[in-house]
Amino acid sequence: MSDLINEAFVSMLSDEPPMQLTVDGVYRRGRRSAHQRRVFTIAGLSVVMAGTTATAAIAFQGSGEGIAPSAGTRTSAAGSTPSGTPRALVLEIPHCDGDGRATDPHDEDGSALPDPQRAAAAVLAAAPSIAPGRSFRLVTAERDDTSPKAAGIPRVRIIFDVGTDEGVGSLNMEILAQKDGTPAQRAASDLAAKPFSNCIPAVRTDFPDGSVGLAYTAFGTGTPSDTVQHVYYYATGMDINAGLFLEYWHSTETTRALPPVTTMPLTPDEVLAIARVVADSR
Amino acid sequence: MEGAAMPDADADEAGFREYVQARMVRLRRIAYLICGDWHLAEDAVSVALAKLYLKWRRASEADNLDAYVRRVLVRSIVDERRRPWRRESPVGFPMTGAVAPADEPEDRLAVRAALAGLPARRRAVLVLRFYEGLSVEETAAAMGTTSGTVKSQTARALTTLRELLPRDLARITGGPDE
Repeated sequence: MSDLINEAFVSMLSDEPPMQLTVDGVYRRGRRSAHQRRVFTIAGLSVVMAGTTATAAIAFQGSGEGIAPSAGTRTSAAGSTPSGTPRALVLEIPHCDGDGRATDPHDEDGSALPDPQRAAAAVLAAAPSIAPGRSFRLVTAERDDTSPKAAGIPRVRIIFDVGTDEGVGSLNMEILAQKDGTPAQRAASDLAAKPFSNCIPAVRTDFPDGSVGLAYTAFGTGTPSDTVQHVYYYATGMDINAGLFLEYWHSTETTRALPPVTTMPLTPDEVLAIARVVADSR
Repeated sequence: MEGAAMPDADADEAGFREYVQARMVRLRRIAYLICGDWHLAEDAVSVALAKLYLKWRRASEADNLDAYVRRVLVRSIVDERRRPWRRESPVGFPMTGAVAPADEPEDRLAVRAALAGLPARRRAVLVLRFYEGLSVEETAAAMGTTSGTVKSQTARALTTLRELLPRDLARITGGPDE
C-alpha cells in the first residue's frame, strides 16, 4: 500500500508549474515580517501605556458606566448603528506570531449551524439598515458536511457580492460549529495562535451577550485580487469567519467581469452586524 | 527579544538564501500534496520561510532545521482552515484526477482520487510518511503531535483510503504495511 501511495503522490506532481517564488522574494518577505514585528512591538507597548492611563481615569471617576461589555451598553450597536462610534470596549491588539494555537473546530453533527437559506434571507432583509447604500447579491448559501478545508467538519458558507457606488466587492462567511469553550475563550485562543499569513493587528469587540468580534486590518498587495480583510465572530455554539474582498466573488454563475472597489465594501462593524444577524437566524 | 534573532550579517543572509534555494522546491511539493493547490502551496512556503527568517540565527544552529521548517509549513496549511480565509474553491481537492496523465495506471488513478478525498490532516500524515519517507517520530514532530497520534492517524487514513477505493483495489492493497 505504501508503494502505491508514494507512486500516486509522485504522479500528482507531474503537472508541477514553474516556481513563481524566488529567493529574493522570500528574503524580502522575511525582512517585511521582521519590520512588522518591530512596529507592532512598539505599537503594543503604546497600547499598554494607553490602556493603563484609561484604566486609571475610569478608576478615578469611580463609575463602571464606560466599560461597555460588562455594563451591556452596546446592545444592538452592531446591528443598528454599525457606522457609529462603538460604545463597547474596543482594544487595538498587536497580533504577531504568537505561541498559541487556534482551537480546532469541534462538532460532530453541525446541529448548531444556521440554516443557510434562512440566514441568507435574514441578511438580505437586514442589509438596507446595516449597510445603507450598498447592494447585496447572494452568490451562494450552502451547507457542506464533508469539506476537506474544514477537515470534514460540517460548515455553512454564505457569500454575497456587495455593490457600492464604485464597483463590486464581496463578503464570504464561513460558519463552523463550535461546542468547545465560550466565545471569549475561542477568540482569545485564536488571537494567541500563529496567524497563517502576515503579522497583522486585530481589533477586538466584546458584545453584551458574550459574543466577540475580531477585526483584522486588511492585508495584501492592495490589488483587488490579492487583498483581504478578515472579521471573525465568535458566538455561542459557532464561529463565523468572514472575508471581505475588493472584487466580486468569482463563480461559475458570474459570466461577466464586474468593476472592483478600492476600499472594502463594508466596514468591520457592518460585517459583525451581519454576522450577528446570521447567528440570530438560528 | 525575538527581533534580535533576525539575520543582520552577510553570512546569515547568505546562509538563509542558500537554504531557501535548496529547499523551496521540495517544500512546495509537500505543501501541494497536502493542500492540492499550487498557489496556496507556494504561499504557504513563502510564509513558512519568512517565519524561518525571523528565527534564522537560532534555527540555523539547530540539529534539524528541516524538521523545524516542515513543522511550520504543515501547521500553516493544516491550520489554514481556521485562519485567514482564502479566495478558493473550497469543496473538493483541486487536483482530483483531472490532470492525471492519459497513460496513468487505473489503480494509481484510484489511489489519487481516494487521497484527494481525505481530510487535510490525514493527508498530511500520509504525505510525510509515504512521500517524504519520514518515520513516525519525525512525522509527529512535523505535525506537532505525538507518535501515538501519528500512528492512529495513519491507520485511520489508510482505512478511509481503503473505503474510498474501488472494492477490487481495496482488497489487493490489504492492510496497512507500516
